[in-house]
Amino acid sequence: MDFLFLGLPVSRWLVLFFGIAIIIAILRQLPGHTKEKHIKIFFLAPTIIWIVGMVIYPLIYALIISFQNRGAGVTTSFAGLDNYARLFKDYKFWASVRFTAKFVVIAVTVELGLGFVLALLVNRDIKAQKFFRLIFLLPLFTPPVALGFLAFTVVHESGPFNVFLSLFGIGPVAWTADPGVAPITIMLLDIWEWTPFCFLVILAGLQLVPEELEEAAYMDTNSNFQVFRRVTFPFVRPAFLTVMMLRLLEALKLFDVPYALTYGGPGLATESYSILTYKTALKHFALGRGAALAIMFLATILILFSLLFRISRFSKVYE
Amino acid sequence: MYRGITKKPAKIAIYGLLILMSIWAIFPFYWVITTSFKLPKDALGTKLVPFVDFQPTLENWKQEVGRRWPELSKGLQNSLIVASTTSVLTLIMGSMAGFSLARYRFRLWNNKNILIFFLSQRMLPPVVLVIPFLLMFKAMKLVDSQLSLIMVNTTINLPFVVLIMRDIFKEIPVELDEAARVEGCSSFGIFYKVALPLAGSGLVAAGILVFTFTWNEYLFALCLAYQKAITIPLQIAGTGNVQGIQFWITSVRGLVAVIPPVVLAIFAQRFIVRGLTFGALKG
Repeated sequence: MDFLFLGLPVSRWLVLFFGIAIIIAILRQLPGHTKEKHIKIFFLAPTIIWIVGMVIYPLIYALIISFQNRGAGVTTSFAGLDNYARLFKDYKFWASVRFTAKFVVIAVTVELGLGFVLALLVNRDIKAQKFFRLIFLLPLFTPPVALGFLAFTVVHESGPFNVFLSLFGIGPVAWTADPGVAPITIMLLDIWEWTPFCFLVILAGLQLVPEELEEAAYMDTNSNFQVFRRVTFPFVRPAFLTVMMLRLLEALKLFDVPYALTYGGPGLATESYSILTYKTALKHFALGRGAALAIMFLATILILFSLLFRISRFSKVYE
Repeated sequence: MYRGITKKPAKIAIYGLLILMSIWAIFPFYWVITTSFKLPKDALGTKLVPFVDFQPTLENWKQEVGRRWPELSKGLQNSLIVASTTSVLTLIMGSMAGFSLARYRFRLWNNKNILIFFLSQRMLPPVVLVIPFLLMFKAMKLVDSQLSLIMVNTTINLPFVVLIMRDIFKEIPVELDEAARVEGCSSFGIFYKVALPLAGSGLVAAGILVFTFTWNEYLFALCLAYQKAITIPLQIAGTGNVQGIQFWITSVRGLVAVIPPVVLAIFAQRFIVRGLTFGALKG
């Protein structure tokens, strides 16, 4: 794919082609040029072309690389399933899978759970909604890199966090230096960043629940739990599921915070899958293995989520 | 028990809880702000209150914003250009695509399938694209350029905008379209004169979200930009030197980096929660 074709690399030809296709697609939208039934295609075309050119093509490229023996100083040669086979024997691969899985499950559960409980508690007639909403959005807008770097000063051995804990008699904890504790630190940071968001979304969802239904149900059953289970939750479910899916997807891609705070952790303690892929490809220049890691990642996510879709589509139909 | 009828003690408890949560959300910012005024020797340690625990200094700010401003302004400039161009590009392409998905029925490929196609783009971990992009941009001689960052960030944010805009366009009643058509409006005219203005708030929200995500984006900036197209997150990360990471400088840069998205957030916070969940909250 790097060969020259008429003086320019093939890739540059493709870019030219896609660029012109997009421009034509956009230009043809000007009034006077289009037939009615063609217009829906022309509206969609730029985006589809862009995605095909910038996502599908690179993915195929990555797939091909993953079957090659590419790296710095190594002549590219076909390597078959070698890269993949090596992955499964690699202890670094399994370490990162373990950490990423642990992180995703724990962090997302806590974020959703905490956000839900807090939203339930706060779901009353509260003034000053806008003010609180802004404050709770702030953690979301911080660059995760900044969060990672600056967290070091907070969780440092003599930093405020440890001082705060010592008020409760908990001895100074090595939040970043201890391989057992470092993953927890990363989870805590992520929880800090995203719980307010989960809280806000679920709160908004809760406020759509019709009060009369809840009160009628309460009068019938006199049990808050039953009211929640039968009336409130079904209304909140779409919002909840959406937030869950969003968080799961984003959590799997975790890169910035552990990279900034611990660069993969003491040893491999906080080496998320993305960090491992990044290091393999760009630090060790083992492009073939890096591509294999990446494709593996994509395949796993696609499988996981198609499974999840079956389940959640069920509940959406039920509602 | 639910809502409306809330007794005094419950209300106080709830406000207390909200205030606690606010402290939780704000404390890191307070910490960063105070750290940016600290001397290096005070940076690591628990010095909470200025003038009481430590002697504040303007030295860090004078250094970054004063003497070494060209360096910081380059990062700001690059980030600004990349983020705003990405915003505009994704809004244009995404709203067109969202409109077509909301209004027209596709026969060849089901609407739902197209939607799932876009949704699945969100599942794509960015790392997967790093390797091919690196090789592609190297071949196009676009490494370390703003254009490559713009292209990459547009790719990442496009599906998001499409999904948001589709939901927003779905809320606009079709009758308005038909009324406009009776007046002799072309299809593109409907999009441009009827749908877009009504979807204005959604466009703003989506634009701000895309801007913020691009502004904070680190992985691709790390891989594709070194010097000419350096963005703010890279500069925040680059405050390490032989003596270790200079947290006082990091906090200055971090604060500078956080201000534009926060300012935008203040303007549009009403729309953002809605935008982020693309319409799942409709009753």
